[in-house]
Amino acid sequence: MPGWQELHEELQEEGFTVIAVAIDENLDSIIELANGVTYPVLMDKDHLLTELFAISNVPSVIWIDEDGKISRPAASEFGTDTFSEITGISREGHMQQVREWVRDETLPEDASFIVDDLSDEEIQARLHFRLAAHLRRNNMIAESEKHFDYAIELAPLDFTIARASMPLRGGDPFGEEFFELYQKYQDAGSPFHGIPRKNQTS
Amino acid sequence: MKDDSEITILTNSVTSIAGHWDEGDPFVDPAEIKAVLGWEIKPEGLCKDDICIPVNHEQSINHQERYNLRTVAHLTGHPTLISQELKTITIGQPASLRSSALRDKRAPDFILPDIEGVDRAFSDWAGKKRLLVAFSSW
Repeated sequence: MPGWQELHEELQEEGFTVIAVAIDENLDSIIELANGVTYPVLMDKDHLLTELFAISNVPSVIWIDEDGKISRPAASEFGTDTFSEITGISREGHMQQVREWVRDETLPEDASFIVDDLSDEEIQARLHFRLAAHLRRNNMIAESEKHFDYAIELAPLDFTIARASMPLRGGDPFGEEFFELYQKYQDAGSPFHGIPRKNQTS
Repeated sequence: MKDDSEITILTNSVTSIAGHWDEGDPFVDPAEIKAVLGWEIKPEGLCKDDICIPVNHEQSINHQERYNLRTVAHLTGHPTLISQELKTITIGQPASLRSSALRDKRAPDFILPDIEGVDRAFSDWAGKKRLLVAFSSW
Protein backbone atom coordinates (compact mmCIF):
# COMPACT_ATOMS: atom_id res chain seq x y z
CA MET A 1 0.00 0.00 0.00
CA PRO A 2 2.75 2.58 0.72
CA GLY A 3 4.13 2.08 -2.80
CA TRP A 4 0.75 2.82 -4.39
CA GLN A 5 0.46 5.80 -2.02
CA GLU A 6 3.68 7.29 -3.44
CA LEU A 7 2.43 6.83 -7.00
CA HIS A 8 -0.97 8.27 -6.08
CA GLU A 9 0.61 11.37 -4.50
CA GLU A 10 2.91 11.85 -7.45
CA LEU A 11 0.14 11.74 -10.06
CA GLN A 12 -3.04 12.84 -8.28
CA GLU A 13 -2.84 16.40 -9.60
CA GLU A 14 -2.69 15.01 -13.14
CA GLY A 15 -6.15 13.43 -13.25
CA PHE A 16 -5.15 10.12 -11.70
CA THR A 17 -6.20 8.11 -8.68
CA VAL A 18 -5.45 4.72 -7.23
CA ILE A 19 -8.57 2.81 -6.12
CA ALA A 20 -7.83 -0.25 -4.02
CA VAL A 21 -10.37 -3.02 -3.57
CA ALA A 22 -9.85 -5.61 -0.84
CA ILE A 23 -10.97 -9.08 -1.96
CA ASP A 24 -11.37 -9.83 1.68
CA GLU A 25 -13.79 -9.70 4.59
CA ASN A 26 -11.27 -8.96 7.32
CA LEU A 27 -11.97 -5.26 7.83
CA ASP A 28 -9.54 -4.88 10.75
CA SER A 29 -6.61 -6.20 8.73
CA ILE A 30 -7.50 -4.01 5.77
CA ILE A 31 -7.77 -0.90 7.95
CA GLU A 32 -4.32 -1.73 9.27
CA LEU A 33 -2.93 -2.15 5.74
CA ALA A 34 -4.59 1.11 4.68
CA ASN A 35 -2.86 3.10 7.42
CA GLY A 36 -1.50 6.31 5.87
CA VAL A 37 -3.33 5.75 2.59
CA THR A 38 -5.26 8.70 1.10
CA TYR A 39 -6.73 6.98 -1.97
CA PRO A 40 -10.06 5.13 -1.69
CA VAL A 41 -9.99 1.62 -0.24
CA LEU A 42 -13.14 -0.45 -0.81
CA MET A 43 -14.21 -3.74 0.77
CA ASP A 44 -15.31 -6.61 -1.50
CA LYS A 45 -16.11 -9.40 0.96
CA ASP A 46 -18.19 -11.31 -1.62
CA HIS A 47 -15.51 -11.13 -4.35
CA LEU A 48 -17.73 -9.25 -6.81
CA LEU A 49 -14.68 -7.98 -8.68
CA THR A 50 -13.37 -11.49 -9.29
CA GLU A 51 -16.56 -12.16 -11.27
CA LEU A 52 -16.78 -8.82 -13.08
CA PHE A 53 -13.14 -8.77 -14.22
CA ALA A 54 -12.24 -12.51 -14.09
CA ILE A 55 -9.67 -11.94 -11.34
CA SER A 56 -7.96 -15.10 -10.04
CA ASN A 57 -5.23 -13.79 -7.77
CA VAL A 58 -4.05 -10.71 -5.91
CA PRO A 59 -2.54 -8.34 -6.52
CA SER A 60 -4.26 -7.81 -9.86
CA VAL A 61 -3.90 -4.30 -11.24
CA ILE A 62 -6.16 -2.92 -13.99
CA TRP A 63 -5.81 0.44 -15.72
CA ILE A 64 -9.10 2.19 -16.48
CA ASP A 65 -9.26 5.52 -18.27
CA GLU A 66 -11.43 8.63 -17.82
CA ASP A 67 -14.27 7.15 -19.88
CA GLY A 68 -14.33 3.72 -18.27
CA LYS A 69 -12.34 1.98 -20.96
CA ILE A 70 -9.84 -0.63 -19.78
CA SER A 71 -6.50 0.67 -20.98
CA ARG A 72 -4.53 -2.31 -19.70
CA PRO A 73 -6.15 -5.48 -18.33
CA ALA A 74 -5.29 -7.35 -15.15
CA ALA A 75 -1.64 -8.07 -14.40
CA SER A 76 0.18 -8.92 -11.18
CA GLU A 77 1.89 -5.71 -10.22
CA PHE A 78 3.27 -4.78 -6.86
CA GLY A 79 3.41 -1.56 -4.87
CA THR A 80 6.56 -2.73 -3.13
CA ASP A 81 9.53 -4.92 -3.96
CA THR A 82 9.00 -7.10 -0.87
CA PHE A 83 8.13 -10.16 -2.97
CA SER A 84 10.19 -9.40 -6.08
CA GLU A 85 12.68 -12.17 -5.41
CA ILE A 86 9.88 -14.75 -5.36
CA THR A 87 7.74 -13.28 -8.13
CA GLY A 88 10.44 -11.86 -10.39
CA ILE A 89 8.33 -8.71 -10.67
CA SER A 90 9.81 -5.37 -9.63
CA ARG A 91 7.60 -2.38 -9.04
CA GLU A 92 9.50 0.32 -10.85
CA GLY A 93 8.98 -0.86 -14.44
CA HIS A 94 5.22 -0.84 -13.98
CA MET A 95 5.18 2.46 -12.13
CA GLN A 96 7.09 4.11 -14.97
CA GLN A 97 4.55 2.70 -17.45
CA VAL A 98 1.73 4.20 -15.35
CA ARG A 99 3.43 7.62 -15.43
CA GLU A 100 3.73 7.43 -19.22
CA TRP A 101 0.06 6.44 -19.52
CA VAL A 102 -1.09 9.31 -17.29
CA ARG A 103 1.19 11.97 -18.80
CA ASP A 104 1.58 10.96 -22.46
CA GLU A 105 -1.28 8.53 -23.12
CA THR A 106 1.25 5.90 -24.13
CA LEU A 107 0.49 2.27 -23.46
CA PRO A 108 2.85 -0.69 -23.14
CA GLU A 109 2.66 -3.38 -25.82
CA ASP A 110 0.97 -5.88 -23.52
CA ALA A 111 -1.96 -3.49 -22.89
CA SER A 112 -3.96 -4.99 -25.76
CA PHE A 113 -3.83 -8.47 -24.22
CA ILE A 114 -7.21 -10.22 -23.97
CA VAL A 115 -7.69 -11.97 -20.63
CA ASP A 116 -9.32 -15.42 -20.75
CA ASP A 117 -12.91 -15.54 -19.56
CA LEU A 118 -13.83 -17.60 -16.51
CA SER A 119 -14.79 -21.20 -17.16
CA ASP A 120 -18.20 -22.48 -16.04
CA GLU A 121 -16.40 -24.25 -13.18
CA GLU A 122 -14.71 -21.02 -12.08
CA ILE A 123 -18.06 -19.20 -12.18
CA GLN A 124 -19.76 -21.88 -10.07
CA ALA A 125 -16.78 -21.93 -7.71
CA ARG A 126 -17.35 -18.23 -7.03
CA LEU A 127 -21.00 -18.88 -6.15
CA HIS A 128 -20.05 -21.74 -3.80
CA PHE A 129 -17.42 -19.54 -2.18
CA ARG A 130 -19.94 -16.72 -1.66
CA LEU A 131 -22.47 -19.14 -0.18
CA ALA A 132 -19.82 -20.73 2.07
CA ALA A 133 -18.68 -17.33 3.37
CA HIS A 134 -22.29 -16.34 4.04
CA LEU A 135 -23.00 -19.62 5.89
CA ARG A 136 -19.88 -19.18 7.96
CA ARG A 137 -20.91 -15.65 8.95
CA ASN A 138 -24.13 -17.24 10.18
CA ASN A 139 -22.27 -19.93 12.14
CA MET A 140 -23.45 -22.77 9.89
CA ILE A 141 -19.96 -24.22 9.93
CA ALA A 142 -20.59 -27.74 8.61
CA GLU A 143 -22.59 -26.47 5.63
CA SER A 144 -20.05 -23.75 5.05
CA GLU A 145 -17.17 -26.25 4.95
CA LYS A 146 -19.03 -28.31 2.37
CA HIS A 147 -19.39 -25.35 0.02
CA PHE A 148 -15.77 -24.23 0.49
CA ASP A 149 -14.82 -27.78 -0.53
CA TYR A 150 -17.03 -27.62 -3.63
CA ALA A 151 -15.54 -24.23 -4.55
CA ILE A 152 -11.97 -25.50 -4.29
CA GLU A 153 -12.80 -28.68 -6.17
CA LEU A 154 -14.13 -26.55 -9.05
CA ALA A 155 -11.27 -24.02 -9.07
CA PRO A 156 -8.33 -25.58 -7.19
CA LEU A 157 -5.69 -23.14 -8.45
CA ASP A 158 -7.68 -19.94 -8.14
CA PHE A 159 -6.12 -18.02 -5.26
CA THR A 160 -9.25 -15.90 -4.70
CA ILE A 161 -10.95 -19.19 -3.82
CA ALA A 162 -8.34 -21.62 -2.50
CA ARG A 163 -6.13 -19.17 -0.63
CA ALA A 164 -8.84 -16.69 0.36
CA SER A 165 -10.75 -19.51 2.05
CA MET A 166 -7.80 -20.43 4.31
CA PRO A 167 -8.23 -17.71 6.97
CA LEU A 168 -12.03 -18.13 6.82
CA ARG A 169 -11.63 -21.81 7.76
CA GLY A 170 -9.11 -21.25 10.52
CA GLY A 171 -6.09 -21.98 8.31
CA ASP A 172 -2.96 -19.94 7.68
CA PRO A 173 -2.74 -18.28 4.23
CA PHE A 174 1.02 -17.82 4.78
CA GLY A 175 1.68 -21.34 6.10
CA GLU A 176 2.25 -24.85 4.79
CA GLU A 177 -1.16 -24.94 3.08
CA PHE A 178 -0.21 -21.94 1.00
CA PHE A 179 3.16 -23.35 -0.05
CA GLU A 180 1.47 -26.57 -1.15
CA LEU A 181 -1.00 -24.58 -3.21
CA TYR A 182 1.76 -22.45 -4.72
CA GLN A 183 3.70 -25.58 -5.70
CA LYS A 184 0.64 -27.10 -7.38
CA TYR A 185 0.02 -23.80 -9.16
CA GLN A 186 3.58 -23.65 -10.49
CA ASP A 187 3.50 -27.31 -11.51
CA ALA A 188 0.36 -26.54 -13.53
CA GLY A 189 2.18 -23.74 -15.39
CA SER A 190 0.97 -20.82 -13.22
CA PRO A 191 -2.53 -20.40 -14.74
CA PHE A 192 -3.62 -16.80 -14.20
CA HIS A 193 -6.40 -14.61 -15.57
CA GLY A 194 -4.26 -11.71 -16.67
CA ILE A 195 -1.24 -10.65 -18.68
CA PRO A 196 1.27 -13.51 -18.51
CA ARG A 197 4.78 -12.89 -17.26
CA LYS A 198 7.62 -13.49 -19.70
CA ASN A 199 10.20 -14.00 -16.98
CA GLN A 200 8.50 -16.19 -14.40
CA THR A 201 11.01 -17.39 -11.87
CA SER A 202 11.32 -21.12 -12.03
CA MET B 1 -49.83 -20.87 -1.64
CA LYS B 2 -48.18 -24.12 -0.81
CA ASP B 3 -45.04 -24.26 1.31
CA ASP B 4 -44.67 -20.50 1.45
CA SER B 5 -41.25 -19.75 2.87
CA GLU B 6 -38.54 -17.19 3.30
CA ILE B 7 -35.87 -17.43 0.64
CA THR B 8 -32.45 -15.89 1.20
CA ILE B 9 -30.95 -14.23 -1.85
CA LEU B 10 -27.19 -13.72 -2.02
CA THR B 11 -26.10 -11.29 -4.66
CA ASN B 12 -23.55 -8.73 -3.57
CA SER B 13 -25.90 -8.15 -0.67
CA VAL B 14 -28.11 -10.44 1.40
CA THR B 15 -31.89 -10.11 1.15
CA SER B 16 -34.79 -12.21 2.25
CA ILE B 17 -37.92 -12.61 0.14
CA ALA B 18 -41.11 -14.65 0.23
CA GLY B 19 -41.58 -17.51 -2.19
CA HIS B 20 -42.38 -21.17 -2.56
CA TRP B 21 -40.62 -24.20 -3.99
CA ASP B 22 -41.85 -26.54 -6.65
CA GLU B 23 -39.74 -29.53 -7.64
CA GLY B 24 -36.57 -27.81 -6.46
CA ASP B 25 -37.30 -24.54 -8.24
CA PRO B 26 -37.96 -21.28 -6.38
CA PHE B 27 -41.05 -19.24 -7.32
CA VAL B 28 -41.27 -15.59 -6.30
CA ASP B 29 -43.44 -12.52 -6.96
CA PRO B 30 -42.72 -10.40 -10.05
CA ALA B 31 -41.85 -7.44 -7.78
CA GLU B 32 -39.08 -9.53 -6.20
CA ILE B 33 -37.72 -10.47 -9.62
CA LYS B 34 -37.39 -6.77 -10.36
CA ALA B 35 -35.80 -6.04 -6.96
CA VAL B 36 -33.31 -8.91 -7.21
CA LEU B 37 -32.38 -8.96 -10.91
CA GLY B 38 -33.58 -5.57 -12.16
CA TRP B 39 -35.74 -7.22 -14.86
CA GLU B 40 -39.43 -6.45 -15.07
CA ILE B 41 -42.06 -8.90 -16.27
CA LYS B 42 -44.15 -7.28 -19.02
CA PRO B 43 -46.48 -8.63 -21.71
CA GLU B 44 -43.58 -8.48 -24.21
CA GLY B 45 -41.28 -10.50 -21.96
CA LEU B 46 -38.54 -9.74 -19.44
CA CYS B 47 -37.56 -6.09 -19.77
CA LYS B 48 -34.76 -3.89 -18.47
CA ASP B 49 -34.07 -0.39 -19.83
CA ASP B 50 -34.79 -0.66 -23.58
CA ILE B 51 -34.18 -4.38 -23.84
CA CYS B 52 -36.86 -7.06 -23.71
CA ILE B 53 -36.21 -10.78 -23.78
CA PRO B 54 -39.22 -12.63 -25.17
CA VAL B 55 -40.45 -15.42 -22.94
CA ASN B 56 -41.93 -18.57 -24.32
CA HIS B 57 -44.92 -19.12 -22.09
CA GLU B 58 -44.79 -22.81 -22.85
CA GLN B 59 -41.82 -22.81 -20.49
CA SER B 60 -43.15 -23.21 -16.98
CA ILE B 61 -41.96 -19.79 -15.96
CA ASN B 62 -44.95 -18.89 -13.82
CA HIS B 63 -46.87 -20.79 -11.22
CA GLN B 64 -49.59 -19.40 -8.95
CA GLU B 65 -48.82 -15.80 -10.09
CA ARG B 66 -45.21 -16.31 -9.21
CA TYR B 67 -42.19 -16.70 -11.45
CA ASN B 68 -39.48 -19.32 -11.52
CA LEU B 69 -36.38 -17.45 -10.39
CA ARG B 70 -34.11 -20.18 -11.79
CA THR B 71 -35.57 -19.76 -15.28
CA VAL B 72 -35.62 -15.95 -15.12
CA ALA B 73 -32.00 -15.82 -13.92
CA HIS B 74 -30.99 -18.19 -16.72
CA LEU B 75 -32.83 -16.17 -19.39
CA THR B 76 -31.19 -12.95 -18.18
CA GLY B 77 -27.69 -14.48 -18.16
CA HIS B 78 -27.13 -14.75 -14.40
CA PRO B 79 -25.43 -17.90 -13.08
CA THR B 80 -27.14 -19.34 -10.00
CA LEU B 81 -26.52 -21.77 -7.20
CA ILE B 82 -29.89 -22.84 -5.82
CA SER B 83 -30.32 -24.81 -2.61
CA GLN B 84 -33.81 -25.73 -1.48
CA GLU B 85 -32.31 -27.40 1.57
CA LEU B 86 -30.71 -24.12 2.70
CA LYS B 87 -33.56 -22.04 1.19
CA THR B 88 -30.82 -19.93 -0.33
CA ILE B 89 -30.20 -18.71 -3.85
CA THR B 90 -26.79 -17.37 -4.78
CA ILE B 91 -26.86 -15.25 -7.92
CA GLY B 92 -23.81 -14.22 -9.90
CA GLN B 93 -23.11 -11.40 -12.32
CA PRO B 94 -24.27 -11.76 -15.92
CA ALA B 95 -21.59 -13.17 -18.21
CA SER B 96 -22.19 -10.29 -20.63
CA LEU B 97 -20.78 -7.78 -18.11
CA ARG B 98 -17.55 -9.73 -17.84
CA SER B 99 -17.19 -10.37 -21.55
CA SER B 100 -17.70 -6.67 -22.18
CA ALA B 101 -14.82 -6.03 -19.78
CA LEU B 102 -12.55 -8.69 -21.26
CA ARG B 103 -13.30 -8.39 -24.97
CA ASP B 104 -14.69 -4.88 -25.46
CA LYS B 105 -12.56 -3.41 -22.66
CA ARG B 106 -15.54 -1.66 -21.08
CA ALA B 107 -15.12 -1.56 -17.31
CA PRO B 108 -18.41 -2.47 -15.61
CA ASP B 109 -19.45 -0.09 -12.85
CA PHE B 110 -19.80 -1.49 -9.33
CA ILE B 111 -20.75 -0.28 -5.87
CA LEU B 112 -18.83 -1.38 -2.77
CA PRO B 113 -18.46 0.04 0.74
CA ASP B 114 -15.27 1.87 1.66
CA ILE B 115 -13.49 1.05 4.92
CA GLU B 116 -15.69 3.59 6.71
CA GLY B 117 -18.73 1.58 5.54
CA VAL B 118 -19.93 4.19 3.00
CA ASP B 119 -21.11 2.81 -0.36
CA ARG B 120 -19.03 4.13 -3.25
CA ALA B 121 -19.53 3.64 -6.97
CA PHE B 122 -16.46 3.13 -9.13
CA SER B 123 -17.99 5.71 -11.49
CA ASP B 124 -17.70 8.34 -8.71
CA TRP B 125 -14.14 8.70 -10.00
CA ALA B 126 -15.03 8.83 -13.70
CA GLY B 127 -13.07 11.55 -15.46
CA LYS B 128 -9.83 10.35 -13.88
CA LYS B 129 -7.42 7.67 -14.95
CA ARG B 130 -7.91 4.95 -12.35
CA LEU B 131 -5.46 2.31 -11.22
CA LEU B 132 -7.73 -0.42 -9.86
CA VAL B 133 -5.71 -2.50 -7.42
CA ALA B 134 -7.30 -5.75 -6.19
CA PHE B 135 -5.46 -6.77 -3.02
CA SER B 136 -6.08 -8.69 0.22
CA SER B 137 -4.73 -9.52 3.66
CA TRP B 138 -4.49 -13.24 2.81
